[in-house]
Amino acid sequence: MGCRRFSEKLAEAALEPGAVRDAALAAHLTACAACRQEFEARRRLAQAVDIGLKAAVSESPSPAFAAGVRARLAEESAPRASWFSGWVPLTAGALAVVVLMAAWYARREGPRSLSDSPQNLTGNVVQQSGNQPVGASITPLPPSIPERSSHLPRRNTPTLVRVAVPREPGVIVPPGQRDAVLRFYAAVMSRRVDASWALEEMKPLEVAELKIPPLEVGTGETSSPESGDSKGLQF
Amino acid sequence: MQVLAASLAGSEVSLEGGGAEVAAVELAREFETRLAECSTLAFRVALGVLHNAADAEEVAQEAFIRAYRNFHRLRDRQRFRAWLARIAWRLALDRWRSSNRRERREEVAGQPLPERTVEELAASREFQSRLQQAMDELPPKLRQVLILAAVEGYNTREVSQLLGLPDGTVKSRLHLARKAMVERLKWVAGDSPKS
Repeated sequence: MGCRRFSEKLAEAALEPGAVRDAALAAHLTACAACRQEFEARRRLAQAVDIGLKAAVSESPSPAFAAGVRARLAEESAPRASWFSGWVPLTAGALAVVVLMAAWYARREGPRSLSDSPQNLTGNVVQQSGNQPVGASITPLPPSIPERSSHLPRRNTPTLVRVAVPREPGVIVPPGQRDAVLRFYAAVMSRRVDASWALEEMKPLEVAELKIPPLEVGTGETSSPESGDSKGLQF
Repeated sequence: MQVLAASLAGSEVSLEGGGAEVAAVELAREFETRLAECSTLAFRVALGVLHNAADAEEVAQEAFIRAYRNFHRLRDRQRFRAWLARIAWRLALDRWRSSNRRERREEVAGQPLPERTVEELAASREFQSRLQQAMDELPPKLRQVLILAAVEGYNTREVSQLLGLPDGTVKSRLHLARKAMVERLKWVAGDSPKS
């Protein structure tokens, strides 16, 4: 009967309403009762699908739908207010605590003494006495600092103070050495002096034995140059 | 509307002073209009996916809330309908995927139904259950077009506008979807496929 040849066309045609457009298929359906029966069944099913789908989505929302949306929006806006009033102050408070702790820590660390680290050689050099740098503030040094700086010369040991210079660390210099250190600092910064040696570890000094030849003292006799005697005092 | 206006004025409109309040009131009024116009569309799109009125209503409300949150950002207000339909579709599909209804619905399959008229067949509870099952088995693109076409009375032009797709694409997808549905349901009508 050649039914297989028309199976695809039959399935397609069953989805379309009205008469079958394909002439060959229409002729086959007229001749083949089995195919006609399947075609009718498929068309019937396609119609049932369309009707069923329409029925499946034909319901309308309940009359309380819009009121439900408004209620949910009201609920949403209420927690949003509590969120704002709850989290923002909490976050601000936490930030304030962090900032205060950071400030306290920075103040506690402060500028270090010369003995703390050799890198401070490149920092600001300040002195307890004499002219203070502009904008510097002076605070008493804690008792522990002089102990750590015990290698500094004991003579002229001043009352050490901590001088906080904005932005740059400071070093503590005994009185009288300020100008020298400042000159050294300027030389290092202008690269006229290589300061790398200051960062190296100190090597122990080698003591070389001093060799002094024995002093020979002549008898006081004169000798003529002609005699060829070259002994005696030589300079 | 006071709730909508207050919320819009409080959080989402960056105008100052009285201008913000006026704009919020206008937005709220417009949103209320859209809510009245498009409730059915959002609900039916969700219903087509979820097959449950309570779930569909919940999803449709959620779609409106999401649309409301970004309503002031929507430049072309004429696109609200399509925008809302897409939101409702995505939300419904997410809920459908997360639910275990598919497993439960598999129990529905049974013996072929007795022969009836088309209307009787379509209205029968068994056919509806199997129709839903067949819809759930469709690829999302085909299912979306099929549901929107049913919602819009098989007006492919409306569907193409809602989806932002060419009319030909919508027609092609709708044809494929209907064909797949018939293939899946053809044993239901009591006819065995012929060779």
